Amino acid sequence: MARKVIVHVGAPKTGTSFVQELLFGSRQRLMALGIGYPADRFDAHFLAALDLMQLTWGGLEREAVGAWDRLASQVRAWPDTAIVSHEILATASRAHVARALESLSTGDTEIHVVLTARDLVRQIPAEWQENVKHRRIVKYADFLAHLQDPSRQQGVASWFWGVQEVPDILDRWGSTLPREHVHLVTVPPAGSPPQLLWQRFSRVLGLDPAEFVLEDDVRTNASLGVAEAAVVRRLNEQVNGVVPNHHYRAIVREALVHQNLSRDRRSARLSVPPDVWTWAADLSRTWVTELALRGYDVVGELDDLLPTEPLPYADPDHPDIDEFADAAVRALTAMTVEAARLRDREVELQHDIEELIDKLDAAHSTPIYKLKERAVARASTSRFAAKGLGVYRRLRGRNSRST
Amino acid sequence: MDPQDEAAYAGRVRAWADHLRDGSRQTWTEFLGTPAAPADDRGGAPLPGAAQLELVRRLADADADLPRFADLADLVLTTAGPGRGLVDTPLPWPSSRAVGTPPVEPDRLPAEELLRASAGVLARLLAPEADLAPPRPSRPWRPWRRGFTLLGAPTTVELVRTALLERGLREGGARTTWFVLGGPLEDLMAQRWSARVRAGAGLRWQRLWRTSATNDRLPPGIALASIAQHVADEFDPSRVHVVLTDDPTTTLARVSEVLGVPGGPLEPRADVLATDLLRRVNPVLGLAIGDVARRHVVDRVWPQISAGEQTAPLGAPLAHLDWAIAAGERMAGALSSARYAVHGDPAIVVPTRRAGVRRAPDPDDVLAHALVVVGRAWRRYTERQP
Repeated sequence: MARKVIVHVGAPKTGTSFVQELLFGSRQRLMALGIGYPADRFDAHFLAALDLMQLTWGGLEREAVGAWDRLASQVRAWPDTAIVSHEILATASRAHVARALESLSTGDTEIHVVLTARDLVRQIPAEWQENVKHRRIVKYADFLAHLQDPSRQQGVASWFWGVQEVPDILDRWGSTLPREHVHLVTVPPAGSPPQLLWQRFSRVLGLDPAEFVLEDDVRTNASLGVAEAAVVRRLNEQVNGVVPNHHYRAIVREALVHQNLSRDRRSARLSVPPDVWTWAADLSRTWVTELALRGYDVVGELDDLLPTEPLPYADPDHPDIDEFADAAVRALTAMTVEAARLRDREVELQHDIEELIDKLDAAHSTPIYKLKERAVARASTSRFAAKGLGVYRRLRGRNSRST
Repeated sequence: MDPQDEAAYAGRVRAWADHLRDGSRQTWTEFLGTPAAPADDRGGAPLPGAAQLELVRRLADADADLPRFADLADLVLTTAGPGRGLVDTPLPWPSSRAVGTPPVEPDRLPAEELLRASAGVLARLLAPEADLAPPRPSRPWRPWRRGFTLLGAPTTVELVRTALLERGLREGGARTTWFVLGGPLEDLMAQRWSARVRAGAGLRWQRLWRTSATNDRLPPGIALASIAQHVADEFDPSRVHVVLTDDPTTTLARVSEVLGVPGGPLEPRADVLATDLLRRVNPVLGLAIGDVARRHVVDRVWPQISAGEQTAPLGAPLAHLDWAIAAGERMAGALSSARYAVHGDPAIVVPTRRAGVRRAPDPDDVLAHALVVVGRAWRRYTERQP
């Protein structure tokens, strides 16, 4: 049987983190089924994707040197089915795709590409929110205008369409593959059971979804509400240029957004204004028509990519002032609690340091240590003692300056 | 676009690519006006995008004498644009695709897109330099010579340091004389920016100012008054000299006077365009060979990247000019009341509201410089790999 490599290329905001968490946490069980998910850390495939596409990511790219070649060699060495999964692969250019597919193959390899896709009307606010969580300060109205500009040359438009334009992504990744090896997994409409996406995805992998129980704490990127997103965007305006990326990731994205604001969303869900809904719905219909002609393996329904009825629109650039104030106070509370936790940790560490100093003092008060100290002091004034110390250090096999 | 039309498009693009490989400077529009050979879509390699094709055309336009131009063209055409930007920009064609990046006339692509392609090409040309051993600086041991230590404006420090070592002085030592070199604040920031970028940062000029202004603090390496104060506190204030001038020759003259050696002319360095180019190359090169090797490569090739630049110094971005003036005035005030020697007028550090100053690098200028640098890097590459 030919080796099989399944490359899951996105798209962002379609439950990819959830799938990746499940795959990473199930590596041993998958291995027993002959399926390899080569990763020594949760973000191994993310780093490989950064390396492949030579992307910067707030300094994380420094950890990505050689990551794609390492991943590709692990995949090539795997005898059965291997999976590669990261959503930013969606924006790979044809040259990057060619390099990726070539490096994953060994001649008899059957390559399958999987794209999980969700309707555009849900993707647009989700992507803006993701941008806000990555410390961007672009207002929602500007973001929407950039997306609708046909040139795609403003703001993050080129990135958005690179990772969200479903027919083009499948064209870039799938144009050299048999159509049946290109799988489009549609994300079920809002309100569907959370297991449904995994059921659809596992069908592509040839797995029984029931064998993989979803843990409650599997990583999901919960949404911010309108007011919460507005608070984080305004916060970005204040901390950009002041707080370095590594602190921003830990304090704002993780502690504030993931651990607090998105778990306690109280304001309206982010949506699109009516004119954008109409534009996005028209575009989605064009995509669905195009995709229906392509002959890909569609898992789910193509109609899942059409938007459902519009949600009531609340403008995050002009949020309700009470909701905004409430979200700001909750943010301040969360940050105060986090600051207190870090203060506690600081006190603990201070205590540890004092204990270590006591132990060091005790070690330095032994007669043998004092003798060594006297010998070293003597060596600085006596050539004879210095020579003796040199001989002693050579005999010890290392040049220690401490004793 | 139906499959037949797609094949015709691909064939025409590959024909233009072949034409460009031969050194043609014809634009896509001009090429489309020439009689078409039968469609020849060889398939296989992905079609090059508009940015890659246009970069080849501009390289031929910038230097018609590049050796083995077809090989350089192949390298450019097969180098994917690194990082973020338009994905596989197609060329205008009567029937365009309904999805994907919209077509753009290659000669009307934004300079940023061509710079992105150039960064990928430069990273490929420079990466093999990592295999060469890093140069070992020779430091003759001359304890009887007078010692000096230079701090402050990084580029001026480099120039003056080289000149003093050539005069046989030694760096450091127990009785060293400390010099803190400086000049106009905007020039100090430009030198700091250049040094940070050479050290690996992907920092924009505007970002350096924004960070400093937001923190209301000058980068520590060029906070002249703080540096001089620290050295004076730690050592002997009589051995600390702050030298403020607006050109390296005068700086060397003042330093030489204190040290009792002859001065001499120093060529001022302009490296705004080179710095802005390098900040784009840094992440790509770092990903290719790692940060340590990247540093060695940049140390080695920086003279080639920055050679020949004649740009005027950058001014502070308008949004931060008020802060720049205030910071300059604070520094000038601190230097005026110092208890160490200050050579030059402290007022020189304070920026002024000059008109007609460029306050950020112009991408078109950076691109013109990038074409020259790619040409140089290619010559070097072909010399090593005949």
